[in-house]
Amino acid sequence: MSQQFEELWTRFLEGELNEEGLASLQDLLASDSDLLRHAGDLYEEHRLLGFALQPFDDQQFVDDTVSIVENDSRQFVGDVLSELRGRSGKLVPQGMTRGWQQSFLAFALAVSILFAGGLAWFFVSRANQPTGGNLYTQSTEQHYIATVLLEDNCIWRASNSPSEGRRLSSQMLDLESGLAVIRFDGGAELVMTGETSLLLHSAGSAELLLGDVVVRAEEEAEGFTLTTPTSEVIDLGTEFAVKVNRIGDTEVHVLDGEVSYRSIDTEDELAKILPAGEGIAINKSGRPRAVPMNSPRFQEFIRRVNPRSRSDLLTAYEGFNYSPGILPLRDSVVGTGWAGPWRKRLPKERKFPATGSSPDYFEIVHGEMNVTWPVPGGRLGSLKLPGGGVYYLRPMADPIRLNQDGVVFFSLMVRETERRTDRDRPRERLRLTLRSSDDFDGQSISFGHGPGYRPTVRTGAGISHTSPLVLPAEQTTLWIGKIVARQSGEDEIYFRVYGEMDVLDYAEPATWHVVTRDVELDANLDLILLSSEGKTARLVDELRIGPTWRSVAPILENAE
Amino acid sequence: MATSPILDEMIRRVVGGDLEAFAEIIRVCQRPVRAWIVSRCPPGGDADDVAQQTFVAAFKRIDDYQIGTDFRAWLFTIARYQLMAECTRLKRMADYHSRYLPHALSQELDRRTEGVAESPTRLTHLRECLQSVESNAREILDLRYGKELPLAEIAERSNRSVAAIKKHLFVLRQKLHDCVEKKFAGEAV
Repeated sequence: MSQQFEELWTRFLEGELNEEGLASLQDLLASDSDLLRHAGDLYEEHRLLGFALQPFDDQQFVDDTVSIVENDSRQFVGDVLSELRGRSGKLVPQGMTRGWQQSFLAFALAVSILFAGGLAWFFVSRANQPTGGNLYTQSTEQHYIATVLLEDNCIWRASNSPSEGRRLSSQMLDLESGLAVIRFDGGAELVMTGETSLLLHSAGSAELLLGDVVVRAEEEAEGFTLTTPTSEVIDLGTEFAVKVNRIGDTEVHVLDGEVSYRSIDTEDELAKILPAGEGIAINKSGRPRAVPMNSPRFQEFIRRVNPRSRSDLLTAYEGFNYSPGILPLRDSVVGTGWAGPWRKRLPKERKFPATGSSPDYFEIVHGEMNVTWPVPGGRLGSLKLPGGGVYYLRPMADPIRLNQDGVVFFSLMVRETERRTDRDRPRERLRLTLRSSDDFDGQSISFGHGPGYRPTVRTGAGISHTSPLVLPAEQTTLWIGKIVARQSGEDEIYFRVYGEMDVLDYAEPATWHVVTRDVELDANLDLILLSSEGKTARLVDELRIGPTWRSVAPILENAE
Repeated sequence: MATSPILDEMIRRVVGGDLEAFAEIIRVCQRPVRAWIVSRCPPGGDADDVAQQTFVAAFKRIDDYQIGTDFRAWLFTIARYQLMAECTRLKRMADYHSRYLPHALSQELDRRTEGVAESPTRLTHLRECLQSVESNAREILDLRYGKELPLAEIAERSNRSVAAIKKHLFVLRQKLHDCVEKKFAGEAV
């Protein structure tokens, strides 16, 4: 073992290794498989030493875990009751009942309440009794392994056809026509064109049953495995195309790097290496023969599609496109997808914090935002939020429903006028929060930064998910967030902040600054709340809410 | 391997909604599950949270478990999926590999996680090897791993330089590793 490894490894375990050191350690480990295995063993032992020597409160762990299960149980019963109460409420439309109708509806309501009470008793008593049947319905939780990056004129066979931004679990994708790009969580990206049947297995593997795909699996995605009816193709850090015809014969074309391939269901189990520029065909008998390499590259498919902005899909848009100067809040009515103008917080909404200094008007400025992305009208009207504590709300016409399966993106341009670094830790905060008008202080999702200028997502009840990265200072930044809502199971929330030098790709990024965990929300979020606190003024502009990355992100389009 | 009749009886009670029985199952199973998760969990991941999620998921899916089969194997499979989800989450954070974990080591941990999940034998060997560590060396290990003190504080407490403590820890880890490997080799004979 080298002196260099000893030094790097010790600093790594102590959390002292900087990016340069980590790169050096990466080089050492990537070039020596024995050393890598050794490092894996050492890492396990390092972790297990902590496990063996640290005091751990077993009983606390048990109590906390049971407490989570109990809360889930109460939540479930509460949801049932709330659902029934909601249905009961709808039974009595105002001003439409009289006489026997009232009697009948009163009876129906009483039955509903009794039924709800009975159901609650049934669940609660069973939760406390050691006998009886199942307490829970079968879980529908799924393990998600990939994301749909792009769809172009796609016709899918299944009724639950995937759409851009949607997360995918292990499942069959049956494309009839069009082009779709899938990114596996392991990093590989795959373009499928025309009639294609692809079975997603895991974050690093899939099975092509029919059709054409091109796989780009660079660096970190190395090792992606694609099986076909006749062969298994393993990426070795490269780009390759695979075609499977109706009788299962397979062609593999290597566009860059190399792949390992082997026939399956034959006696010859040894894998062979196919280098760039070569193609191979494998029929059912498993015999490979060379064919000319003739597949377009991954990027060529993207270039042909030329993904464009889809602002037509926006569900809400606010560009602050007003004349410069003072704008009374009641006149802030432009934009689309809103159920009313901007307003200040109502008295019942003034809790966190209870005070504020929000003026009754907006200050609109022009030309003060340095816009480096292709945003039409981005240099025109912007909202200047003054120093102090200012809070403005706008109701959305189309709420974000967290109790349904769906994907929502938002983007917002922000200009920081001054980066305060005083030692007294200035309380500088800017947040975009989604709240519910029915339960303002209940569930919410908030994107922004606190005094540390680090991207943060808050999901109510003081739970924060904060990036270690510090936002670029005193420049225009573009905030993009993604919410993957699920009717059942964990919701996923992502947040990334782009600086002026960053270019936005045609599809969502592979990595984000904030990725939440253990978030399960079910509120109807129908209010946008802009909160700015601190001594410095800020500019905000181009608030977009839509169902896909391309609907909110100002992507660079090919000029064709 | 089939689950013991006592554990199966507890599982039947959990299926019936008995949370006390579930608490007992956690009590019995949490250490090996946590140990396996801890050993595979990459930097930045919260192993205890993954363990907690494992038990919560197990409770929600307890109907899926077939009484009479291997409950621990079923539980470890859930743990493996929970840990894989946590690893995926970490990898989706910007610059994760350049800031926290070399990519090659991340892949090595992934490979190990995808294998059979079970109570780590390495922990058993490590505990035995710790018995043979001299008392002053054990003290350094306790300060570093038990109390999680910064190296500077360990150095101050033991009147040595930080560099000397680093070197000492490296040597101790290496000795423990050699001891663990000998025990693995002895098992193979």
